[in-house]
Amino acid sequence: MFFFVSLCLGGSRKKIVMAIENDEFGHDPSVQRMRKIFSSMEKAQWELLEKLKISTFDDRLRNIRKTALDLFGKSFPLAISKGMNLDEDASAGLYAFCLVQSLKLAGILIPDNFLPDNKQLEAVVMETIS
Amino acid sequence: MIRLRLFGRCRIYHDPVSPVLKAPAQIGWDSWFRDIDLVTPRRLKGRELLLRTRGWWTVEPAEVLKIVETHGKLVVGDNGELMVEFKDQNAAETLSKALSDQFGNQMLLSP
Repeated sequence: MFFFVSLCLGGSRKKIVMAIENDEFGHDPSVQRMRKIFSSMEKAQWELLEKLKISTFDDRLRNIRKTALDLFGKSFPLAISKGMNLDEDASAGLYAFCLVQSLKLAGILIPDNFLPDNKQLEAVVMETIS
Repeated sequence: MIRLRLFGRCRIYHDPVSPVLKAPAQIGWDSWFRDIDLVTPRRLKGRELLLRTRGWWTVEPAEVLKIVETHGKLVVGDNGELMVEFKDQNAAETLSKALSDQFGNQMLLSP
């Protein structure tokens, strides 16, 4: 299932053990789609936290992520019911709006126009909250 | 002292996931010469919970264990979370770097 190999890089003594995965799920199109969506959401999250200079070890992140996920779980079906096409970029955008709302609820100041303008996605999240 | 959860990447979807012990293991006994009704609930220790991620993460948990134990203490949190306990944030940052050197972005520390 997994093969562990040791590589000696550039003649240095540094030994890096890499896990090389025999990816038995990667051929499935639905798995590929979910991987792209999760990867885009994660990228959006890291970028947002970096811009706000929030440490990845910040204790508040646990509840912030939990609230954002809860909001996303309600916003996603609402967006679908409105006929929106949620590909990986739109899903990441929707999650970013949810995360921003969650950060605000935690008392973190978010500058105006912090996220790229997308009134459709923002409206869905605001409708979910209301 | 600080505690951070240990996340690996799901082998299927590659998103960060961390095990949570939802209920203690129920240990019972069978005997050759008697029936034993005793069933004892037993919480797993941090290292035991980590090793049970085998097959769920993209990396081998035994390899993760070796690195984690040199920088912090594996514990099970109050709500069953797999966590690493550090004496300070510097120790957490050192482990984060060591995990990154060894596994790239496959292992993460986060609240």
